[in-house]
Amino acid sequence: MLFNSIEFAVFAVVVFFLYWFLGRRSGRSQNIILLGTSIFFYGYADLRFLSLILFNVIINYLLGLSIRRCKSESKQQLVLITGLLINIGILCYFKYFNFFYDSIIDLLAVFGSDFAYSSLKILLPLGISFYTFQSIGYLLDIYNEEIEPCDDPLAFATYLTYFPKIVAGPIERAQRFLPQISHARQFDYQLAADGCRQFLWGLFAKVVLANGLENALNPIFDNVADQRASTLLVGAFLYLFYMYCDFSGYTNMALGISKLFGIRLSINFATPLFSTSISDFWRRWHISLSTWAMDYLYTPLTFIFRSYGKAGTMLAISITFFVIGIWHGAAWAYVAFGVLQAIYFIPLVTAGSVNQVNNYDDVLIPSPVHALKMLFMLCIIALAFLLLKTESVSGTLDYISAIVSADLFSRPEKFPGMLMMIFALFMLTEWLQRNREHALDIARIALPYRHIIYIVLLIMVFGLGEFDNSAFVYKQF
Amino acid sequence: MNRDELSEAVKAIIIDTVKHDDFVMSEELTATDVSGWDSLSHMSIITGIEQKFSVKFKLKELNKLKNMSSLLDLILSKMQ
Amino acid sequence: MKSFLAKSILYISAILIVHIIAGYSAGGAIDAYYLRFTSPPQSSLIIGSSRAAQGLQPSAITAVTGKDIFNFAFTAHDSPYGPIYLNAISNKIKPDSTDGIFILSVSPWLVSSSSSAPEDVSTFRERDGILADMTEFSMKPNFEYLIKNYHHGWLKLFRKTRASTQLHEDGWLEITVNMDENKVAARKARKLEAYRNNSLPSNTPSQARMDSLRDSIRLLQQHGRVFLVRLPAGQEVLDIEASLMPDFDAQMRSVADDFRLSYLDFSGCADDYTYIDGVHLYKDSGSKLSGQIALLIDNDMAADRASYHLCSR
Repeated sequence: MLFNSIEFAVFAVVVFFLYWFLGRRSGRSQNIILLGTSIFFYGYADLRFLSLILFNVIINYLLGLSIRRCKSESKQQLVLITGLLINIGILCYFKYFNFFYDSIIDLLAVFGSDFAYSSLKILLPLGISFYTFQSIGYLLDIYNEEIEPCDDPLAFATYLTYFPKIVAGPIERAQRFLPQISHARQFDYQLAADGCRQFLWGLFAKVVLANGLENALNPIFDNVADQRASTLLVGAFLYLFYMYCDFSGYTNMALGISKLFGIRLSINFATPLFSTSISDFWRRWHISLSTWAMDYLYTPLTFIFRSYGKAGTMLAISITFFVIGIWHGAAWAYVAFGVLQAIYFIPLVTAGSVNQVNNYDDVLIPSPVHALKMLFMLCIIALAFLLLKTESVSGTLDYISAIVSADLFSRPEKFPGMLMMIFALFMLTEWLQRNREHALDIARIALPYRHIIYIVLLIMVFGLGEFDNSAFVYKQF
Repeated sequence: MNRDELSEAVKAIIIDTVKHDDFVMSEELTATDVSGWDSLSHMSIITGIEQKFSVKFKLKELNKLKNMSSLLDLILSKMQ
Repeated sequence: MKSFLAKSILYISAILIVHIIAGYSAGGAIDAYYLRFTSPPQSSLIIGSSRAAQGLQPSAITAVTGKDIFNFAFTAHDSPYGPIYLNAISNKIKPDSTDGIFILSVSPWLVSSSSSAPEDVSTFRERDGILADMTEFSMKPNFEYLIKNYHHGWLKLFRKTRASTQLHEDGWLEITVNMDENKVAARKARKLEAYRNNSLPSNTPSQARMDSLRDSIRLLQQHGRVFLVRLPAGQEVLDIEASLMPDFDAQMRSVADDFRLSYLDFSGCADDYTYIDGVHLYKDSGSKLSGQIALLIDNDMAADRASYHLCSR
């Protein structure tokens, strides 16, 4: 059930009425409704793996309690490591089995083995990368005494299965989510209205821009050899923009829907296309993943390597991005993606400016230096994202070498002018609204204008939108 | 070394790391009050403290720090 | 809460009303299939895949036979012979009609399955196609179709003509493309590559589909006369089809014998016609072929099961 489908619209309306009218007496009944509808939502999409996520809920609930119950440090450590192994083991089994299996067969073939290749493929359970990371964070937080284990199985199950975030995040922290559902929620008009605005902005980004860009890009990536170099160059950037519209669109819809139930999810994007350095980019792109990696990987690693100075920092960054890379999927292209990110960090680490925060929050027009930095960032990020798109290092190299040719200065083809104009307006709005939670945070605008904006957006969404594209890209990770 | 001297020394380390002194040192100071003191620079500050006062922290101890007051308490407890 | 609900209902109703208005204006330019779900039930039908949808023109057939006929052919993905297409056909026939003509276009692909269990009906490819979950085949506007199978914004529903693909009220899909030799050759090369690399390796002849073809004939014979037609196609395509089902023509002849009907095999006349991509007839050729078939049908109605010399050579 995609957020931009008719089924979901009906589902959301039903949940809304159940939640606020049937469940209004207590937080407990509201949680029961959220859990029940989330299980329905998950089962509707992926009935086979419903038992897996429920197993994950039960096992992590029990592990969380038992870490705290252990008196000695060493026993706590034992329970923690058991928990990590179970979570990572399940994730690796489903996500990486095929990769290792294929790699081993390839390796054997190198040594002349004719071991028969069987098409043993394991399907990826919906949302597993996201809920596994949440579980791991939960256990580590308990072990580090950052939080107390959740002693309410209903609340904990709601936390892990909550339907607005189950498909593709954000990766929520227990300490942020659980307090919000520990008591009865009251309907808050302002929050609900803001949720609708945020959902509308996400829907616009998804069905008009992401799906429109995807339709324009598919023929290009399907047949790279036949394209003009200029088309390929523009196409590489548009793929990055497509990823942003798709994933930020999904996230805004998730956050917007959640606000209708009085629950705030974490911000996942802060206009990453306006980044001026690689560390800036990772502070703004898929924030719930990058802060997760920061807290549970980078920080412990830098702590371990802290006496090695810059080399230690670089090592910690490399390992962190290696994990972020393979988190996206099991393929060498994703490893290369992680390695490339780490390489991008080298100049920052040597210059000691990893921590530098770029401040251009209050300028209307960026200075030439800022603009150039942004452009440079777009180039190197677009390059890295080609790895995600082509899913192979050689495919990316082929693509780049096809760009370097004589007709680079010809006119790019195949990009509908209307779509490009709407995208430009989208980016302009994102720029002007970059200090707000989402671009359609316009409660301060006078009433009639506000509704004119809604109507224009609704006309674009339902009039020009494409509703066929099967899924959000990030669902596959 | 008394608490005030310690506080001054820690302040120097923070200034050295974040490259500015645009903050007011107090017992309630937290990382968010200091521009540039994020998770990336955090470890440089910690390493600076460890070297300066010849102490070793555990990760778990660092995770529990709430503000400057608890950081100073931790350093003092280690130095004794 | 009240104000929130009031505003939501206002916006949702406005969105619904716009969609309903747009639905009423939808016509043959919105996609390649819609009008086949809006016409009233028919007494004569053209059945098959996109080759029949584009190649067989009802108006040319009506001109000769004097009978109204409706093109109810879709694509090789959506409408191979099987229970789903059979159900759609049975819904599209006027229940009390008995003197219709039914032109069933056949090719090896339409009696083959692309799943690993070719005899298992529950794995058939058309299960995710446009006919799969339709219940209403003759309603205008057909909101069931628009909700299930139309995935663009409503602005496109107002479009009245489309230069490249225009669906006509009689179900014929008119394709207008650049017939420049190089363009045709490029399209043909892509098509052949797709047939060789995708379709051929994945397809297996399916007895279950053959049975469905027979069921379809059985049903349609209650409503009139049935003709099996193998449309012409480029020689390379016919070669690929021969490697998929070497005995295809023999099988069709045996079906024709069993049901005492005519099998009009145009596969030997490939060079008489022009194609947009080596497979699909260009419209002038389609018109010519439709007229020829109509004449044969007309003769066949008079004389019983004559044998034909199909090619003009």
